[in-house]
Amino acid sequence: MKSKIFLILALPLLVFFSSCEDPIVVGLDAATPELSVDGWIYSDTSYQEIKLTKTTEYFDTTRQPAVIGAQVSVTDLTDSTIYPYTETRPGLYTTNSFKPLIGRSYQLNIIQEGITWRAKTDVKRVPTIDSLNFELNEEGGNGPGGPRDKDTYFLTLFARETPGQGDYYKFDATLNGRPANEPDNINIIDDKFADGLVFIPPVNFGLNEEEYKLGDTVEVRILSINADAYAFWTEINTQINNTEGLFAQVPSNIRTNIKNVTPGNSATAVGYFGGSGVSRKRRIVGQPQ
Amino acid sequence: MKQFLVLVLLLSSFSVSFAQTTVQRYTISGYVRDAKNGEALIGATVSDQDTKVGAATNVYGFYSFSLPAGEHTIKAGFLGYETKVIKVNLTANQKQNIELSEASAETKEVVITAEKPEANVKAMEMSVNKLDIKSINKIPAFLGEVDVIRAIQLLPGVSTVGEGSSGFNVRGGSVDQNLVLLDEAPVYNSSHLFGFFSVFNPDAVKDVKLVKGGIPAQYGGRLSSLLDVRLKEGNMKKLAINGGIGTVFSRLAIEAPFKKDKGSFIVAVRRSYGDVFLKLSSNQALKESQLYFYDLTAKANYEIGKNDRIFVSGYLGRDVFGFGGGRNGFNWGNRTATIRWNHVFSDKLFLNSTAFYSNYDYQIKFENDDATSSFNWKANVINYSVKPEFSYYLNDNTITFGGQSILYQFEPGTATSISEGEKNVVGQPNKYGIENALYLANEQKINTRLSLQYGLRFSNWQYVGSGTEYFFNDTISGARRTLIGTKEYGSGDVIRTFNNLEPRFSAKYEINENSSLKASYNRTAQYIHLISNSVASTPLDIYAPSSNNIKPQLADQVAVGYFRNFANNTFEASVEGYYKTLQNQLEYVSNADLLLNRQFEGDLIKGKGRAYGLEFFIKKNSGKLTGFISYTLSRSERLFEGLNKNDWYPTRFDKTHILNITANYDITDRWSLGANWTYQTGTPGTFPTNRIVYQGIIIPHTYSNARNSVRIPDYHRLDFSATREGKVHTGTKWYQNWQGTWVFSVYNAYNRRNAFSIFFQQKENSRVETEAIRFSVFGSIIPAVTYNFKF
Repeated sequence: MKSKIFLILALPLLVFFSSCEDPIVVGLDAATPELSVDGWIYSDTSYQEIKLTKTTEYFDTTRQPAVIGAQVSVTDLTDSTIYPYTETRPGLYTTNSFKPLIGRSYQLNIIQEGITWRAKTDVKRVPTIDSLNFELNEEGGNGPGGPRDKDTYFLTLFARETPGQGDYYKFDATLNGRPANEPDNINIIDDKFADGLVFIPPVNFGLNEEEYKLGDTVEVRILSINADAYAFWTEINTQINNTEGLFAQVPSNIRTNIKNVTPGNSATAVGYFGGSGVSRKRRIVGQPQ
Repeated sequence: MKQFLVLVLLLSSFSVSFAQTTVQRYTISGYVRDAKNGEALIGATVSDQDTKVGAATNVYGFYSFSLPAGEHTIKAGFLGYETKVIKVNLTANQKQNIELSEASAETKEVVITAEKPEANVKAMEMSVNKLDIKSINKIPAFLGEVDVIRAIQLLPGVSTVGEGSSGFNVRGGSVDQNLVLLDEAPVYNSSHLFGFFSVFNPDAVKDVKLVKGGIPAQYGGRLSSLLDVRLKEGNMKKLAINGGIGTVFSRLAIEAPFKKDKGSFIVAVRRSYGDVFLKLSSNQALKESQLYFYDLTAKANYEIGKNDRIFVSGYLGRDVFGFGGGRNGFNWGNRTATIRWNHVFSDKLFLNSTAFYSNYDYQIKFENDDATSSFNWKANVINYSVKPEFSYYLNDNTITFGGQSILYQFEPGTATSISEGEKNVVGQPNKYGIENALYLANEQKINTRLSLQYGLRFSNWQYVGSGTEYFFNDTISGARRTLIGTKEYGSGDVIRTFNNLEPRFSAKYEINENSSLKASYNRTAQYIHLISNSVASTPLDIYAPSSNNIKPQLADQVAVGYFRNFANNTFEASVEGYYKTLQNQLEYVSNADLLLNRQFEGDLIKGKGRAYGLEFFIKKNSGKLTGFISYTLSRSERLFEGLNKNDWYPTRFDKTHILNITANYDITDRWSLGANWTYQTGTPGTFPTNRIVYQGIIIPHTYSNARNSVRIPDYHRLDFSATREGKVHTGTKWYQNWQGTWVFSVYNAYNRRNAFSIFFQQKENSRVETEAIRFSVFGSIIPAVTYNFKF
């Protein structure tokens, strides 16, 4: 929400003044690689994955080196069940037998090169999606993602937020099985402005980066996230989408919940372990719900 | 109030005993005004020719001093005006109003060398820069539009986070630490169009004074500076109209007497017309955009009898940015109103009483096409205040005393969401504060060389209900604190009280006619805090009162300076050094939630600041070539627990070197050329070392977690202007007497793309490549033409 406001703030300036952006060459300090954890668990599947890599220099375009040979597992903190992950590709750790339950908390355990890392997350309640509405845009013109072709559709999502404050969500969509939004288009909200209400613009209209055409299959997901994960995604959003212009936020490192619990060891890691309750809805454009 | 009466009584008994020790002296007092339009002249000097004893006029043009009985030759002078010599025979206290005439083009040279503008050396004050509107007019301006704040930014000791940003930073202080007064009423957001123009309409402004140090005891409430903007009173002699047609906006000001030499008014308006051009656009989105600002500045004054004068002034302005035919967008504006009453009790005692109202508000809204769903957010800061201020002129002392009471009403924001008719209101409730102050100060001439100014300000802050006090636990530094309890207070209950004694001291030692040494110390306290976590402050930032979680900000500053005039006062120069410490500064935990959050205080980090620097200033006042050079060498740093590995780091507006050269050359009587060159060290920034790849997103990461450890490239820019004054047309009717002036200007003449910031991002359409991007506010040369006229 906040970043959207600041984006609007920056807009008239771009129109009115000759402000400009151009790439320049900047030398950056070299730095020590750190363990990077990319892991999320979802309530609607038994297949889960976690990626372990090392960070590289900012301008380095080579693939980040995989961290191999780690011991990875997730513990259900309610009944202490341990779900082990196995390395199916270098650096990719997966399991086929772990379906997280809504309302429970989970702990990630990684043992790698003698260091033990831990991270905790919650899988929270998620509202069901009532319907997806496609509205024909006959004239074309401008849309959220730029100019629009004639006879494409705008997607509006209908869902009622669960009453009681303290819920946070992330939205995403697929178009014919492919992601319908670029990774940097992060749709997250907290229920501060919408507790118990039907989601309103711009929230329910955020998944219109792609143009939807008659016959397309569109699937929308609402992912519940906890307060810390909401903060994590907000920080990413700020650091990648609100860096330009006069009202840019101050650059700072995004948070991590990966903690080193090895006595006498001060190595640090980056990345995040999160969990979501998932609710989905699929519809083919031009056909009934 | 009781304390205040005691203070007055004490002071009067003290002054009576003082008075008894002197005999056979009489007071000469009165007002100094412009002969042409009756405007009071601020800082004009009136003195006895032989003994050099004299005084400078105050902000209302009033002066008073004592001389032995007998015949005297009194000289009155003001920069750019012809000196007037008056013979008086003092047999009793005498009232002497003086009118000075502006030096004409022919006599300018002679007059200025004859009359010494010695104020630089002789005046008590230091760390002060005065700009009258005539000098501001000579500086090449952005888009040809003269602007007070942009002129201020050329002075030594003044920095900004970058061009186009709101506000300014004085001697390492934050933007909210400037007390910006428009005819005594505080202005909370002094910018239009973000920071490109200020709210001060130059057609209505008379005089601007920036006080960076040695702040007198009558001013308080902000840590770092006082920007005192005084409006014109309005022409006392005849109807006068000023106006201009510019690239961005047009202006019109009307001033006239409603009773000649007794009362007058001025009304000045401005309106931008960017939106008019947007309407012509073929792009539907642009066509439906709104983008404009307007403001209205008005003032009237009336002289009731010979001892009383009433002033009423007001400002009303608004900036509007809208999209989709006004359904989405935001707007903000200030409203101020001031009533002042000048009363001359006796030849020695002058009173100015001020009452003011100031209201800053903003609004953001989103709405769908049929208005069934919407989001609407409003916020305000409202002030009501009274401020009596006495000046007592007693032989070699000028004693000022008075008080001030301000009622603050913070409306930090209420957001209303409507979804298909269902309503949800969130936000922070209103908060209230009362700031009281009492002060007593004396300016004392010890001997012909040494003068002292010393004073004490007592300030008191009461955070009052109704309201809620929030208690947080202490947690790891730099992280959000969690709420452990709250306490409710009823309407009018005092929630928290703070008191501060603020000593102020200045000394001046005149080495000789041309040079002096000055030193000052001041402590200042500030009870309101701007809550902002972006690089430049935005119009949407909120102010918060001091509370159990936010302690009042305190600053201590020492400054020393050497002041010297050269070549018969053609050049005035100064060198000043300062050291300032700041306590209880605020920063924010990462991802702080500052908007509409009742518990935002849990996201604040408390720290301290320090700033020091050297300022050089040289100004040429007369001749065909005029202008000034200012150079500042400075450092401004902050220290916060949990940030930057608990080490000092430079602020976002820290610039090691700032050099400004501004010159104006009169080629002929009608043509003049202006130029301005500025050079500034690049501002600090934070650059990444590594990348994190998370769910396909490349995120910059700084391994050391250091803040502001690198600098963006240096900033420099050249501007030109050429002014052609038209022929003065004369006739019998008012509209036949007019003059037009063309102003041609070029901003950023050598087309430098100065970086405002450098940021890092994933390249568009690439999964692996990243790039560094320079953001420049101005990416080209900006030419402009303005036509000004006056009747």
